[in-house]
Order: sequence, then C-alpha cells, then structure tokens
Amino acid sequence: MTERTELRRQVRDLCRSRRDEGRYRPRADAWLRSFDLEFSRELARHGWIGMTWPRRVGGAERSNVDRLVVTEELLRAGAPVAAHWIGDRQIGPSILRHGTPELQREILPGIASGDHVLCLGMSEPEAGSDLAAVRTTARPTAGGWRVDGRKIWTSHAHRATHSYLLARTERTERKHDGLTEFLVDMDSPGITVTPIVDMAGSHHFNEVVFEDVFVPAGRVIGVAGQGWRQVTEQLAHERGGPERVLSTYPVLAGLLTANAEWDEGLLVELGELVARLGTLRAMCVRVAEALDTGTSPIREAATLKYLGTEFERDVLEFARGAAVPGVLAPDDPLGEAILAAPGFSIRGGSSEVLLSILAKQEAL
Amino acid sequence: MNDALLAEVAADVLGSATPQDAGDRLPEVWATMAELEWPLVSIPESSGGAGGRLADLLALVGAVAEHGLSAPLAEAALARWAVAAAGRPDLPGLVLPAWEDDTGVPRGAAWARHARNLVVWPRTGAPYLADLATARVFCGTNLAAEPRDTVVVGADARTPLPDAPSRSASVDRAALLNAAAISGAARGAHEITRLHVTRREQFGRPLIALKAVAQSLAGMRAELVSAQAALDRACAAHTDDPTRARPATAAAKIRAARAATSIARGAHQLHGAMGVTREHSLHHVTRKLWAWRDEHGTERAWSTWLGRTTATATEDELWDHLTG
Repeated sequence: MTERTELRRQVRDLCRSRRDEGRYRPRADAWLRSFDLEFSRELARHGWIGMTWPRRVGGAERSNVDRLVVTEELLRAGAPVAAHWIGDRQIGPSILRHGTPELQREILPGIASGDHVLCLGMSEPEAGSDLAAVRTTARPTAGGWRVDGRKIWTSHAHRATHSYLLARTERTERKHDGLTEFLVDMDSPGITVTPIVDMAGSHHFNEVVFEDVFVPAGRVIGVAGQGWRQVTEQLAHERGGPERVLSTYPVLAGLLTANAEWDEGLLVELGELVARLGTLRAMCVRVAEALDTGTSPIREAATLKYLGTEFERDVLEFARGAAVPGVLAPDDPLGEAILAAPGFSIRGGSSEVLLSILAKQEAL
Repeated sequence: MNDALLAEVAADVLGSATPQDAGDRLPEVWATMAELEWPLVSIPESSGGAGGRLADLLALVGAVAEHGLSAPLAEAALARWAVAAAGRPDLPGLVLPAWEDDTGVPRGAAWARHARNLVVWPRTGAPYLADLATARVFCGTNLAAEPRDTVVVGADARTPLPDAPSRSASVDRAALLNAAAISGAARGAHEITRLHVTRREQFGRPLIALKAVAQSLAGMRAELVSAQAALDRACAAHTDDPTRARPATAAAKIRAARAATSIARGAHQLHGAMGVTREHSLHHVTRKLWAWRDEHGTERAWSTWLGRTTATATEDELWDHLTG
C-alpha cells in the first residue's frame, strides 16, 4: 500500500467510526454548515490541518495532492469540518506566502492545531461580487491601524477567533490599488457580530461591524496597498478545491446506498454525472499539482469552480428524480442541499464573474 | 519525442495542408503522415512500431482534427496496434479496422475503400483479417463527407487473428482515439471562433466586447478544458491500469460528445450566417464534431453503460474508481 493510499484509508476509517458512533450525520455542504470544533481538533492531532505547511509552524510538510486526498475523503463522508476549513484552505496559505515570520509563528500553529477558527471578511453590503469596491477602511495610527466598516456573509464569525479582513488603506485612481489584507482578533474592542439566518433557518452567516477597531501593525498580511494581487492568488485556493465539486456528494452516495430503482433514463443521467465527476476530480488533482510546483492556477481554479457548481446543481436535479417522490423534509440531506444550493454558484465568485475572468484570456 | 518537438513536427506537416472534403481520395498529406510512421506511434519498436507514448498518438490525432483535415490516422493506428499484437506487423499497404454489426457485416467502416486489409471484429469470436482484393465495398459517407463503407467479405478472404485484442478492448481504444479527434476538432472550432469574434467589428467594436459573446466563448473554453481533462485521464488509465480503461474511456467519450455539441452550437451562433457557408472553413471542424460524437458508441449508450455500472456497484467501488 502506498503512503497516499494509507492516508486515504486512515481518513476514511476515522470518518466512518465517528459517524457510526453517532458523532455526526453526513451532510451536503458540510464544509460550510457542519461545525464541530472537537472533530477538527481530532483531525489536527493526525496532522491533517495545515498539512502542506512547514513543520516550524505546525505543518506536516506534505504535498497539496496529499491534502486533496484528505479533503476529498472528508467531503465524501459529509464530515463536520467547517471549524477549520477556511483557515486551512485559504488564510493559512496566504499568511504563509505573504505574512512576516512573526505573524506566521503567531497564527499558523493555532490553525494547524484546530485552536484558531478563521472567518472571511471580504464581502460588503455595497460591493457584492466586486471585491475591489470594498469600503471598509483602515487608517494608520500609532503602532498599527484603525478599522471602520461593515462585512457581510461572514460564515462562522460568531465562533471565529480571528478574521481575515480586506480593507482600503489608500484612496487611489485605480480601485484595485490601495487595498490591504489584515488578520484581526475577533475579541478586539469595537467588533459586533450579528447573525444572518439563511432561508433554511440555519445560522452560519453573519454581519460583522468594525468600529474604530485597533489592529497592530504586525497584523498586515503582505504589503500594505498591494492586497489585490494577494487576494486573487488566494481566490485560486478558494476556488480550486474539491469542495466545489463534492459538496453534494453525500446526496449521490445516499442514493447509491439506498439502492433506488433505476430506470434507463436515470441510468443515462447517472452515467453522465459520474463522467463529469471523474473529470472534475481529475481537474482538482491538476490544481493541486500546480500548487505543488509553486504556480498559482488562477484560470484552472476558475474553470473548475464554474464547471463544478454547474455539476453540483445537476446532482440535485438528478436526485429529485431518483429519490422516492413525495414530501421532502428540510432536514433531509437532499432537502438541506436544495435549500443550500443557491449559494454554490455565488460564494467564491459568481458563475457570471468567473466567466468574465475566463473570457479575458480569449481576447489575447 | 518530447511534447514540444511533437507539436512542432505536427504543425509543420499539417500547416501546409488545406482542409477539403475527403471524397474518394486520401488527402495528399496522408503520404507524409504514413512516411513519418504516425500510424505506428505508441506501438513498441520491438513489435514493429515506431515507439512513443499513447499520449503522443492522441496528440497527433487531435492535431489532424484541429486542422480540419480528414485522414484515417486514428483508424490506421488502431488497426496497426491490433495486427502488431497479433504478430502481423509486416502487412503492406493501408490496414484499417471494422466491426461487424448484428447481421455479421462490417458497416460504417471508415475509409475501407482505400484499405488493402481490414481487421474485423465479429460480434462474438476471434477477430479476422479481411483481404479486400476480392471483397465488395459499398461506399457511404458520414455527416463530414468522410468514407464510411459497408464491406462484404467472402469466407475464403478471411484469416483468423486469434492473438489480436478483443472486440471490447479495441472498441475502448477506438473510442479513446475518437475522443481525442473530437477534442482536436473542438479546439479548432473554438480557435476559429475566437479569431472571428476578436477581429470582426459590429456595433462599432469587436464582437468580443459584447458581454454575451465573451461569456459564450468562455463557456466553450470551459467545455474544451473539461473534454481534454477527461481525455488525459482516460489516456492515463489505458497506459497504467487497464481495469480502469473502460469507465475512464466512457467518461472521456461522454465529455467529448457533450463538448462537441455545445462548441459546434456556440461556434455557429457566434459566426452568424457566414458560418454556414461552404466557403467558410468552420464547417470542416463542426461537421466532424457532429459526425464523430456518435461514432464508436453514442453518448447515450456510454452514459447508460456507466450509469448501470455505477448503480450496480457499491459506493466504495464508485469512489475507488473516481480516485484511483
């Protein structure tokens, strides 16, 4: 058995035993909705959070392809991974690329151990999908910055220990200049978190208001004013993962396990979906391999997310036809997924914005 | 040969050829392809082949299609692969493959009228070599005006090839080559369309400045990338793990057929009326997309097979297939 196969088996076994113990119920969209700090800490003890990072900051110095093995097994199982997903996937790697050694030492070990929970302060009420239009400002002050502004759709801000924050630090002619990335302690004075309950009645979104919040100078990620390039790189991590393909996999797996009656029309649809899933999963491997060679696969990630969310939507349409007809409860795995689905093609860049990114290369 | 060198040689050879309907003649460029031993690529030198990887052959097949050329490269390569395995690498002239239908007759045999010999796979039993010197060939064409013939072979013109690959294995390889050809033609259609919308001005600016046009072109690109990823995955399965060859080929064929449909549709839509004329080069790739997507098993047939295979397997087996 290769080391990678063994890793896959270990993750699979852990998920199965915790599920069989009743620790969790497999859910679609678990990486955003299913929050269990203890489960995340158990994964951390196995070295499965921050696993591509250097050992000096609590990482395991493994490859992005190994990390893909772990993340896709977790998604397959519908395991409760929301507590560490953002820090592991996105903010940790960003701090590793751009943060000072001090910031790395201060923050990364806590993410890798499951003690720090990160949330994303990117979107704003007036900016929508246009990140460069953020209005939250940070102005220099003695020893750091003072932040004012309002962030929205911030998942798990009510449980987070730290937030990533994109703020405007200069007024410039080009709106893509003058942006800066920060890491902010969520217990800083001046931060207010208000729940936003989604239409399924679940609370993971929040609005976060920053009023004259002090952020120490050492909490700037990278170079002040140069945040835009860093954000677009970071979005490759956000978009290029298997969660853009496998969020609804537990629904598909449930149908197979339930041994539904398959007429020929359903078989055709199922075969089509499996063909797409195999292809998208191969594209996930490519993105991971690109990250391993140190490149930033921005277009590949955008293509993956565009095709992946289209696939996720079609899985749910298929499941509607294949599941036993009748009343679908909102806490049924399929019901939950249907209510969650409008978010798939929005978060991490709407399909329309992704197509615009892809279209730019066509004019060359 | 490395990838860059291969692409350079292919571009050199193919760049000078003009797309035209195949009709009754092999294209002039075929002589060069045969001389360069392209149909022998991916067959080991020890078996009388030209060496190289399966990926090299798929790249050549894709490049021929991308240029809008009709030539029996995929077919000749498949037949040569079969006869090499059967211990007959020395057969002279053009050797092509054919499959018997339910009535025991090879139908839709690509380019058969030009072949000296056909490798024929019956529904059941061992494949045989058909000497076409005495066979009757009824000429037909596909939507792209490429030869697709029906062949009646007398019993005395058949030589059994007991060591040739099975019908199932040869169908898988033919479907893989077909997916490579479709991906190539789709790439050609996308590129012709990209050039068109970046150069042609309407409403006072290039067409691509219209958001709907840019997004449609980008959607075509996404289909292209997906078809290519499926093809690469299937190529790896054929090379590394034959037990995964069939499901991965099914996926590649399904993705290629879907890309063919949507890219041909998008290409003609973005060209407007000028894309439907005989003079415009677009039809050399789009007619191939329409013809090839249903050859070597329709999208529906492959989807049904993959769906049934999935439905009768466990979730563990599905997952192992996806991640293997």
